[in-house]
Amino acid sequence: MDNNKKIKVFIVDDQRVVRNVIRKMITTDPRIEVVGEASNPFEASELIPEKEPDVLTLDVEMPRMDGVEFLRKLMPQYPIPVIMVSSTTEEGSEKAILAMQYGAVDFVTKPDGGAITLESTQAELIQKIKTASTINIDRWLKQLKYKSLPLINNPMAGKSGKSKYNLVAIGASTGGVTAIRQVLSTVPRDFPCIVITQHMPPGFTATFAKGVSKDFGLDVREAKDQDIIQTGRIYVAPGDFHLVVNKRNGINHTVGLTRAEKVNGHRPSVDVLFHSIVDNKLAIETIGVILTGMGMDGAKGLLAMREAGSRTIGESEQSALIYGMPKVAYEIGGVEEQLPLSQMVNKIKNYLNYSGQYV
Amino acid sequence: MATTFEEEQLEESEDTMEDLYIIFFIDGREYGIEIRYLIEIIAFQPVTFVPNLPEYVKGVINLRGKIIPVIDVRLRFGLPKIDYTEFTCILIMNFNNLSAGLIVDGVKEVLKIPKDCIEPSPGFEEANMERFVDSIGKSGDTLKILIDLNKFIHEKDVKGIA
Amino acid sequence: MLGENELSDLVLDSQEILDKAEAILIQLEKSLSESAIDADKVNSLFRYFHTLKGNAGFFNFNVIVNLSHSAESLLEIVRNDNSLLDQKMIQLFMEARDTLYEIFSHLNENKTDTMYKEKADTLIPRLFYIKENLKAESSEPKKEEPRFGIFKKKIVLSDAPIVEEDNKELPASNKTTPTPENSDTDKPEKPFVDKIIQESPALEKKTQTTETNNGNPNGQTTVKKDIRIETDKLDYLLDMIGELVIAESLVTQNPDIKELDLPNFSIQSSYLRKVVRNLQEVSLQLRMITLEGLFNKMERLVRDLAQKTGKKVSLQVTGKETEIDKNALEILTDPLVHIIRNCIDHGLETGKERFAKGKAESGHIKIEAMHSGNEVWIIISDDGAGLDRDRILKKAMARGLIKEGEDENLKDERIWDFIFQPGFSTSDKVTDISGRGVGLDIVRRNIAKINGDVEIKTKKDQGASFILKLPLTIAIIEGMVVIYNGVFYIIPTIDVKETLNLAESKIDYIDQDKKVIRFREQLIPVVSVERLLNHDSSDKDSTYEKSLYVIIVEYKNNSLAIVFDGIVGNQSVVIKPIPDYLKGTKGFSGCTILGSGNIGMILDIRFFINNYYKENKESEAAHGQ
Repeated sequence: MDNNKKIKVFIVDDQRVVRNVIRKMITTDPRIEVVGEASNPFEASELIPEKEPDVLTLDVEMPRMDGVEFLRKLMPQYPIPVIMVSSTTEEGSEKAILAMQYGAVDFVTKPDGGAITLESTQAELIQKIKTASTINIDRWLKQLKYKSLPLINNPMAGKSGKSKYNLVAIGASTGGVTAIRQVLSTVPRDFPCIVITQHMPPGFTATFAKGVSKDFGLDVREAKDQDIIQTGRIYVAPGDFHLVVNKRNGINHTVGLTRAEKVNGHRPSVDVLFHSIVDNKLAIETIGVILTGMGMDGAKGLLAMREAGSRTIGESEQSALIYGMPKVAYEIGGVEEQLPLSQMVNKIKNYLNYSGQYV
Repeated sequence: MATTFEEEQLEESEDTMEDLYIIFFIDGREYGIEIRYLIEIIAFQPVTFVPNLPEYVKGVINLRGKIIPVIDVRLRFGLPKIDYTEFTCILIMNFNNLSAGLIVDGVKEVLKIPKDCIEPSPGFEEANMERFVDSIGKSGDTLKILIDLNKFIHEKDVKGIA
Repeated sequence: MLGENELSDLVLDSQEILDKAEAILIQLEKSLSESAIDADKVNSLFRYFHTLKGNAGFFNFNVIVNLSHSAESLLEIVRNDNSLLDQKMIQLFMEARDTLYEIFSHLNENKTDTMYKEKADTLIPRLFYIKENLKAESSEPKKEEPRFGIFKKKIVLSDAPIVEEDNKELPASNKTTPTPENSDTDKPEKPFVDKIIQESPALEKKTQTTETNNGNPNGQTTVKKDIRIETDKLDYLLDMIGELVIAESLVTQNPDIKELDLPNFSIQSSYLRKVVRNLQEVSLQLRMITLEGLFNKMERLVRDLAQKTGKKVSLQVTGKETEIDKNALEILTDPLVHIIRNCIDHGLETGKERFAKGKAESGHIKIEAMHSGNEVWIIISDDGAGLDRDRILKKAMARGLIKEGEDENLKDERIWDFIFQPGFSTSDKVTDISGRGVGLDIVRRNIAKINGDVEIKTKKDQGASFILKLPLTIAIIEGMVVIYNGVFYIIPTIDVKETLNLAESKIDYIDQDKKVIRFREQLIPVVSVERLLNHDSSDKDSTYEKSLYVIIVEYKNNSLAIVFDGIVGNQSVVIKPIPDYLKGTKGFSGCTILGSGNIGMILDIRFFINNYYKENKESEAAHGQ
């Protein structure tokens, strides 16, 4: 991308107020310009090929044609990085997450009169637009195409053998929704406990967890304080909380939630999760995974884990939507092995001494 | 909130109009009105009489399609009427969205009178004029009588209009 | 970062949404007693509150956000089970909507909504309480079932997904999609557009769709393309077109060329005139908007008043799509409100009284609008007690409006006229709804402002009808241009009864002061314009020798003969408002610029006639002669 050229953004939202606010927000950054707007998908479908934007912001909830439907129709015909704009309702979050599966690269939430303020949305949107403009969308969509529809997990897909690993810790950001889903789609039910920190707003994480749970028949839930780390459980860090591992309580470790300060600008932060694993002497029985995302959250934590004895895997540039976090982690030595997503689960199963068919 | 571009423009132009007055003659004396109310100055043109108006409202004129009532300032000041000359002008004023033309004996100039050169009026004998006077402006050796346009337009007369 | 422009956009858009919400709430309320509740309407309502919340969230207007949110949450439950909707809920939603409306109407000045927190706090817990109770009662929340309304998906064989919530015409699965002839002519730059259209055959490209069913007999929703324009810009455009009309006259009727014989010029200027007139007609169309908004408000008013008075009222509204001039609409609001108030408060009897009279318990009100020739008629009728002639007469006499003995010969129309007098009321009690009968004179005044008229038809115990007759446009009138004492005047053609040449008809004198002229068995008072404007005018005693013509004008059976020195002719005249400065002078309903460049004053004939006859009641006796 030519650094001197402005990023051309096209806004689709049925509410004039919202279009105006978005336009005002993002054009405060000199690198961004708005080349067009549409209040409905029909208008958009005419104007987008005309204006040739670099990035699209798309309202998830439009009355006449659902944003997700529009996305589905758009992607095959006019591939472009799309950022969904969603409200924090359950319906909105479901759609936003669904949109990821159809090729949207990220989403932002509208201010909700609470923690999500106009300023935070503005900063987030600007940053995400900039990130989105660097994505090779054709390649991403091709990859998505090969990700099959959600399978109901085959309970017969391998039995876990004895291994010393009891925990898998995954960290992800932009692009993580699809990446994590793909990873989990091949995970059998009796897998060791998986803890996931995915950068996501509150409310969305619950929706995300529910969606994955339903689609793959796995026990995926938004983590609660004192939840027990046990086989077959998958915990997702709730938006705006750090997920950590607690000290041993009797036999088991539990997970905990903290409201400590944001780390690397994020809460939940992947570094916080990874460091808590090291601090609780669990590194040696944990497999650490860092997936797609912008920035460097998790890189230092993964390094600490590796140095304390964990096996660590980083997503390769080939498969990552944003080769940011995995890149930094790799460059500072935190990644033992870089793998594309499709090979990751097999690798983990390898570590776990899985017998049976590898999916 | 940061001002929009237009708001800034407006603020600027209003700043540069401050302290400027249009100076005109009535019966040998010099009077001034703030220039921000002045739209334009036109040569005297025939006025259409409208019945049932106070004496000093001569009627209306057609200014490029807009109908504007016209006030004879002399008569408003209670001075005797004179014939209009080649120097007679009409000052088209706009005050709070209300337009009116003022017939004056002649126009002298546009003058800047800074605030520190303005003093309260000592009071004039002619009661009719006195009530419209806002203050006195000093410029060099001369004094200009500054008119309060609001009072001039709205103050009721014996047969008040508004 | 968000400034006044964004705020005023928010206010405008939100008010529009709130207007729609109100209309839907009223319809839902009506449908409660009837059969099924329209699920689409409930969904729309949900969406409205959701959107209000979302938009206000950008500005941190937390009171608005919280109030909308509580309504939205309750609606979320109701839309999954419409049968849960009841009168109490609707009332609560109404209150929430009204509060929101109030907040928005002051938002541009206040720039915040915090002062409404207390008020909102009286509503939010109530909404919350109902929601919690319902949630507790309902079984497991339905997961997989498709939600009604917004994202209703039909299984279609082709890949066409989109469903219009309002467009019931959607392709069923066996409708054929258009043949792929389109794909061959696909322009490479716009494959996307064509694809979408191809797969959604019944859908037109729309920039915006309105949700109303435009009175289309097939029940199909016709799609109106519309675009938002600031009314200031539109007004300016219309003013400019008005100027253009005048300018055209100034050129083509210019005195400079009047004497010249310019055949080519004449042809071209005729063409110019035609073009300009067409443009003017189009611009007049731009000023027209439907009565829908106004009538919706009236529906709300009737509902509220019915509740307040405890009377049962059934309301029928027709002609919402009738269009009138935008400016006329604003002036109509108060009169309609007062007429309806009067209707419900005084016109309709209580349920008991009606029963005793053998009427249905529900009072019936009908609001109709229709075009009639060159006018728009708005009729408000009720089946209530009707106007009581005797009571009105008594009241009129008590107030000295008529003298003893005069009452026998008074025609009904005259008597009904009395109720338009300021302060007139035959009601014994003063209710806070219609006050002291102060309202109806607003009707007369406002309607007169737009050159309209009010007629009353009534029958005791059967009901009353108020018929408002309004000219289609208030920007132009047909008028007769005349001269008196060097000043040009315009008399609206509809007020002119006859023109007489003073060479043939003579002015008679009844006594020194009163001059009359004989016309068709009547003696009509003769005056000049100046005399009408000013009783002490210098020509009071004049014999009007110089004048050549007399124009007889008439209004409601009262006539005047006005003298003029000359008649210029009949023409359409663009009405320009009286300059603000001269607003105090009575007698002119506007002014205009004539082709010659001269200014003409448009005479308010009805005002003159009413005035004259009020002071000179003796002249009525002259009619008998």
